[in-house]
Amino acid sequence: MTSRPRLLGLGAIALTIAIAATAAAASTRSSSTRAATPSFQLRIGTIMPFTGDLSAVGPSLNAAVQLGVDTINQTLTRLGLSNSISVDLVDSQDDQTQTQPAIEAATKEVKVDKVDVIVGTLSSTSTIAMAQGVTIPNDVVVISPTASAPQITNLKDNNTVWRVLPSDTFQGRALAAAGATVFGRHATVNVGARNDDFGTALQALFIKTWKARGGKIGASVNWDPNGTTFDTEAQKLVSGNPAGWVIIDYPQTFAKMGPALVRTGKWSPSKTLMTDVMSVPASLKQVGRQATVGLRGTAPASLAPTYPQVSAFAKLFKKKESKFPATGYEGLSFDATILSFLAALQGHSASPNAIKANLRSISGPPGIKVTYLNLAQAIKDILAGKQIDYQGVFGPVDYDSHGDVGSAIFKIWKYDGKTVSTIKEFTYSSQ
Amino acid sequence: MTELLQLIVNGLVTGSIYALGAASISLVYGALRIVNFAQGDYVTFGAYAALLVNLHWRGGMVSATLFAVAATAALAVALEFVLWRPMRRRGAKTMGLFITSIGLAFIMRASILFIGGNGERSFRVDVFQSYAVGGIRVSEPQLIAICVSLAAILAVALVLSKTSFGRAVRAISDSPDLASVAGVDVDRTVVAVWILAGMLAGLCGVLAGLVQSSFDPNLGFTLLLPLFAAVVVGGVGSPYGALIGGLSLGIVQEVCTWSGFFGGVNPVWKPAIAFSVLIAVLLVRPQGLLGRARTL
Amino acid sequence: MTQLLSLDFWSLVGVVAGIYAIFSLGLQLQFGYSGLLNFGHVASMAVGAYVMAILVVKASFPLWAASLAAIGAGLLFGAALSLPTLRLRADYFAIVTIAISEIVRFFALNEQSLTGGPLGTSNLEGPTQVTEYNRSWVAFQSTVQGWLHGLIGSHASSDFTMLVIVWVVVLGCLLLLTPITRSPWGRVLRGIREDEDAVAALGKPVARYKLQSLALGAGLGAVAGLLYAFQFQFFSPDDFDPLITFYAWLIVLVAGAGRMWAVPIGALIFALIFSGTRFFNFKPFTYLDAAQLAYLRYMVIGAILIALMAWRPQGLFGKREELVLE
Repeated sequence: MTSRPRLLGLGAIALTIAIAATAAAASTRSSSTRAATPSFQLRIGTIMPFTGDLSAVGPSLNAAVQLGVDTINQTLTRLGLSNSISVDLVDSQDDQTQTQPAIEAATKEVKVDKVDVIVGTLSSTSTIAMAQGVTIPNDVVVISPTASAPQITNLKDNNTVWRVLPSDTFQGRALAAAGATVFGRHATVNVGARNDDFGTALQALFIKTWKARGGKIGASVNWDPNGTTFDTEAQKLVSGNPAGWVIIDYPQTFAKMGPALVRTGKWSPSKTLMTDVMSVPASLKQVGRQATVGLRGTAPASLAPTYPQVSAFAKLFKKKESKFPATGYEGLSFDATILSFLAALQGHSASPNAIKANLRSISGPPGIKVTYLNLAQAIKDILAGKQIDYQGVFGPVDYDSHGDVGSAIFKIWKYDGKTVSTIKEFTYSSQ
Repeated sequence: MTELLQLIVNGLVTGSIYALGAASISLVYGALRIVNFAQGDYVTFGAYAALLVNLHWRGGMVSATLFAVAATAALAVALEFVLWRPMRRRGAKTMGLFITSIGLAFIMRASILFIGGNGERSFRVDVFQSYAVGGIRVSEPQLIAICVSLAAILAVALVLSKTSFGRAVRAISDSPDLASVAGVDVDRTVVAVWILAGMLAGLCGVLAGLVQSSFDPNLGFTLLLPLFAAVVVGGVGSPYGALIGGLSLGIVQEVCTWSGFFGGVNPVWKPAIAFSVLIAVLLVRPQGLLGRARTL
Repeated sequence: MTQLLSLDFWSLVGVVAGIYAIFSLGLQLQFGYSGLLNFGHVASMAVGAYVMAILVVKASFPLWAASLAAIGAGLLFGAALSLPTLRLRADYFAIVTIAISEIVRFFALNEQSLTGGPLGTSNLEGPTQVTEYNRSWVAFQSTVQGWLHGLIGSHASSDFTMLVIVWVVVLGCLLLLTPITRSPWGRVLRGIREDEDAVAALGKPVARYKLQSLALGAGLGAVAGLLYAFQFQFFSPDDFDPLITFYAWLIVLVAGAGRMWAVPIGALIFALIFSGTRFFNFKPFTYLDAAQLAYLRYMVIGAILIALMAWRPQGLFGKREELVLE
């Protein structure tokens, strides 16, 4: 005895249910595709100089990687994602500041620990050797915090070798531009550099660029970082009457060279340009006031305390890793860690192929600017399919096609004895 | 001319550090026939011991230095009882002891890294102050290094030449067996040699740390080769030899960069020049400047 | 601990051990047989590697010719080493050899236009390109790898191939050296080590024998340098630090002076100690942080060395009577 209105009613209900069900099914399907959480475990290995010439620096950079890993994992836990995604520092090996142990360490981490990414090593020579010997043939991603030799740009690496410190080619040009601003384009400057792969390469590039722009070089002096005394080199560096100095050194050795320069009575930090690592307050304090007040130098523009992530990181490192001295380089290995994670996240996989395919896009424009301070938001954005642009704690880290930090805004910084401030900014892009 | 004088002064500073360390090594090698690869780490130990007093216990440099000297001497004696004597009793001779010293060097440097950390350290002294003495610049730590080093080595030389202990040391360096037959208490003399060597090494560490303004656990190890070179140039077994050897290598290294010397050698070659001088000296005088001409 | 048995990792360790074995065989000839305290042996390795790379990159030599020239340069270097040094007592000879090896290293470090300077062979053609000298070797290695593949299948990785090649060379050196050291020439060398004056009194030209021993030893060092250069595809002055010579001394003395066949065993033990101590990632060691573990590793290596000397100061295969140096 189904009457018409009843049939209509039943039909309407059935239709509604059908539509609702379809809609529900449709929305579930599309939201499950959109919100599909990738599931991976990113295995990071570090190779750092714990012993040997650079032993003053290695442990701190390693600690910064651990700090990055911990930060990522805590954020993942807070987002409820820690069941499917995690990051692990699976092994840290000592390269003894030598090439062959670096290669052995890399072999172990690649073959035994099966890492996806290696953060390391610090010297250009060890990084090139390790890459050519182990990581390139095995397709493992390498992010070196500090290797800056120009050779690395053109290394045939299948896109596996990346670095966080700007290449010397870049830094050389930035130094020359800064020198022109500070001393005048045609001025005579004296150049000093440590006698190793880092110092001599950048020194040569700066001199070449400076002279090409019409500048003059007075004295060019190098020193052995393992020397017993530095007074002779300091005295040679202050000879003549230069308009100023360009000095390329690590804080650990400049802590010996700086005082020697002051003792000559003919040098002033206010007439000197150095590079980015010296702009970190911890490095400046290590060297001492008389050798650093008035000092200027070049650095990536966003390496300034006014950028929240920079000062926050400095505080975080001091708090969590207080037993390790702040060397000025920690930010580089911290950024390397965060970058590899974000790339893996966007690629939905921890495989080196996924990482190397995504490092460039998460590191630079276009995209929403994020820092480690809003890492949770960055993770959500990536999972939602949005583009991000990671701003590091050492610099904006915008990668170019070679795996070098490409377009960068450089600045001239100045230390007045208390804080580091920016005097001028200028933009550079890699050519 | 001023440049040359300045370079000579620089060389005296470098050379004073070398001389102290060389005297320490020369004693141990001359009297005990031990090529102590770890001696550089004894020097580092001295620097860190002084740091403990100067930084953590807020002592002045004088007390820090006295402590460092005593502590390094104590360490040297302790190692004699714990390591060197047992190894000698087991039949280890020069080569075996040399390998032992390499093992010891690894352990010591790793321990200092472990305990003292890997960061750069400085004493609480003014490293920037310098004085102009007639066109030449010199600082207080540098002057102290030169004077203290000279005084210490002269003191050791006097002890070795004028005391019965010194005669005992010379006896055992010629032949331990003959010496003991002649009534020398070899074991006690050996301990006394280590005390002296330890004191010199500790002092060397403090002065090196002062003169460099900043140092890390690699301090002594980077000095090791120049120290051995200084010992050989001066002639083994003679503290005056260590003094002459250390000072001459230090001076040669700095003076070779003088612009009046064919435009001056580039400072990056300094150690190579020192080594060349070493070879040249030995070509002319195979036993070193003040060494005794002796056959193998 | 689970992944301890990775063939590729231990292949690399084995390759390095093989290179050090060849290097130490040269030292064994110079010290174990002739009693010469050569503490500058690493310079022969540097000479071999750099001569080859410079000839290939700057003079366009084919690799095999550059390698032969490199070995020849090593032989010459060893012979030259004997000239200023033969009048000196043993321990002064030692310091002079270190001095010479350091001068060689400083030359490599500072003569940038010739050697690439601190950046090593990657800089041989200037900063714009990463220089390669290795192409012919890589081709050769691939060919060998193909043969091995036919023999043992997929285990024939490039590291394993290099392992085979290097140890074939080690075997070759041993087969070369054993009859030489058992020959009258070898007996004279041993005589020189035990009592030089007696040998001279017999009318033998001691200086000439020493020169030959140094030359041949340096030639072996050059071979090791070549294999090092081929394996790592790139090197710099840092690779030829005096510490490398001290490692060879460790190997020779742990093996026992005067025992050629013991040297490869010594090299393997040495490699085991240095590489094995990288595996401390199990409890209770995990309570230490990475830096402390790195320091601990060095302490363990040092302790093992001391223990070895305490247990057998003459080396594993040495004879007690041969211990005394002077």
